[in-house]
Amino acid sequence: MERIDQGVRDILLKITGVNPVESHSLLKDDLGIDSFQFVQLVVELENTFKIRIDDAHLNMNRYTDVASLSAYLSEIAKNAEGIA
Amino acid sequence: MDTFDLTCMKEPEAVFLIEAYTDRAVTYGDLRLMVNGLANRLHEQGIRNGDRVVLMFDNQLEFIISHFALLRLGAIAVPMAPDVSEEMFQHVLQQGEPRCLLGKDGLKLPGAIITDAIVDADSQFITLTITELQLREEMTEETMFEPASLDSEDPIAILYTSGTTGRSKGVIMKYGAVRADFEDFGQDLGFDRSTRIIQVMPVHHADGWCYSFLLPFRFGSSVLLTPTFQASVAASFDRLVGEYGGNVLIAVPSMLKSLLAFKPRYLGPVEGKLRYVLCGSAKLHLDLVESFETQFDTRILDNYGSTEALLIAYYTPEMPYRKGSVGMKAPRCEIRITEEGEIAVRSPYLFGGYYKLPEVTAEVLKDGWYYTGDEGFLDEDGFLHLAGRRTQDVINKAGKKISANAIDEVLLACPGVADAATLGLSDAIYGEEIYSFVAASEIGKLDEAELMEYARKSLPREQWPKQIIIVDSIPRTAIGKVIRSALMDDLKQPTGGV
Repeated sequence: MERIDQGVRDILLKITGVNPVESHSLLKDDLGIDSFQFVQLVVELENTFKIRIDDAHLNMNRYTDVASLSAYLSEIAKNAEGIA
Repeated sequence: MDTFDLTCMKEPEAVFLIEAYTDRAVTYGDLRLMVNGLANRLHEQGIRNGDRVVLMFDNQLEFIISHFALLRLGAIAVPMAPDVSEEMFQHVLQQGEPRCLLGKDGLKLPGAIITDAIVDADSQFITLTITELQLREEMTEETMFEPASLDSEDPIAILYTSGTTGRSKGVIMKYGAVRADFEDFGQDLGFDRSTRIIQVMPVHHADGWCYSFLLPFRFGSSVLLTPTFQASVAASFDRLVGEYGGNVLIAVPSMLKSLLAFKPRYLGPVEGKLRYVLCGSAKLHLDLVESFETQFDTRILDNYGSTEALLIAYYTPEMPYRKGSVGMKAPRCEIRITEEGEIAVRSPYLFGGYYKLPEVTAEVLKDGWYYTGDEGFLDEDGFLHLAGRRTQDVINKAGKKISANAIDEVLLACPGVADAATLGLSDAIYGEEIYSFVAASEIGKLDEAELMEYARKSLPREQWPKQIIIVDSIPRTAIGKVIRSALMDDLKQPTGGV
């Protein structure tokens, strides 16, 4: 979970240029993520963590802050490991 | 029966509108019955020719039906985003003096409606929620009143701009201008009954407004309406062209970039499904064009226009691409380049002025010519080339017009800032990105990270600079104009926090 949270923050820093990115940073209000940056974020996350975010979870409004996004990604990663 | 009824009755079983993902759909026959039913209800409520009516909907069928109903009444639509800021909402209410507001189910108004300020004592401001259930229950063949017979000069909508300079302005869309533009453009583009437009732009924005409503209706085409472009739409694009049969996409360049990024996710084929992509509003980079055209096996047709002038230049499918050009001058457009290099346009498509702002209108509309604020030239074959903007104030980020001066004003209010200059610089994703240069009043007192934090707290999200660069001084000409090239050198070699 911590590894994923750090990875998410690194990617967000790269995309938004906002420093620092904290776990409690709000995606829209603190980091200013827009719909195009969110697409970029999804692609980077999927490539970095070798996961796939399903279409139903591609709504930016589902994630208020960095922690909620990291929590969801950790869940996918855990399930993927379980299957493997 | 009038033109509206007759157009709908030509092929009543044909689909006019599909909402992707919800699968709600309206045929031309249903469109007629729903529109007439709602028009009757609004007529009963006292809405008449010339009344302004605010429409607050997302991209949804209720918006389309409501707008057509207003046309039947001769009333003027004032589309607004449901999540509009309270300041903008109050501005439109006070300036537009609407009689009525039609909104989506569950709409939460961004501020109070102060009716006394809006309507006279005899009439009452009405707010109505429009739902599909009601529309279907009220479906009827006949209107209970004589539908409005619109003249060319009659306004059918007031589209409020994002307000790059000062308060937002309401652009008056005249029936004749809109009809003439759609007629010419649709014919040149070969619109017909088989055309299905994938409409991902917000319906309250000029692009979304044009392509969801009268343009497809005129040609018996259909509209595939999606929520405003976002990751979930980009991720399911294969469904839009496969399952839903969309074959013409309306987009801005940053959307194409997103679709390319998500292409590996698609399960269904997307190659060759789009007849073409109509792309405008922001600078289109050649590498993006080539990449998208190759990977989607389609053609991108660039265009240039504005809410005030509608389409000024565009490509058609038959027209070969000309390097650096936004397309050929529209057939009925006259283009004149002023001595200062500004593009001025005269055409049947021009707007009817800014609502209640005659002085502001007079600054850009002179003797029938609209002065675009853009610089460019026409080549010998009638292709238009853009060279930049006459004013450096406007930054075009993904089609959104942002005032550089407004950002500078905020930065100048920050303690320790002596001078500021904000520029829009070329960007592969957004067309242009925001860069702010700041000079300190006392050496050693400014920090880029702190300035950025200040900017983020003080500016709306879309106005946040991508980068704030601290410089020793802002290079200016003798008359105070910022020397862009000198600042660009600073961007290449930023000095960092001093």
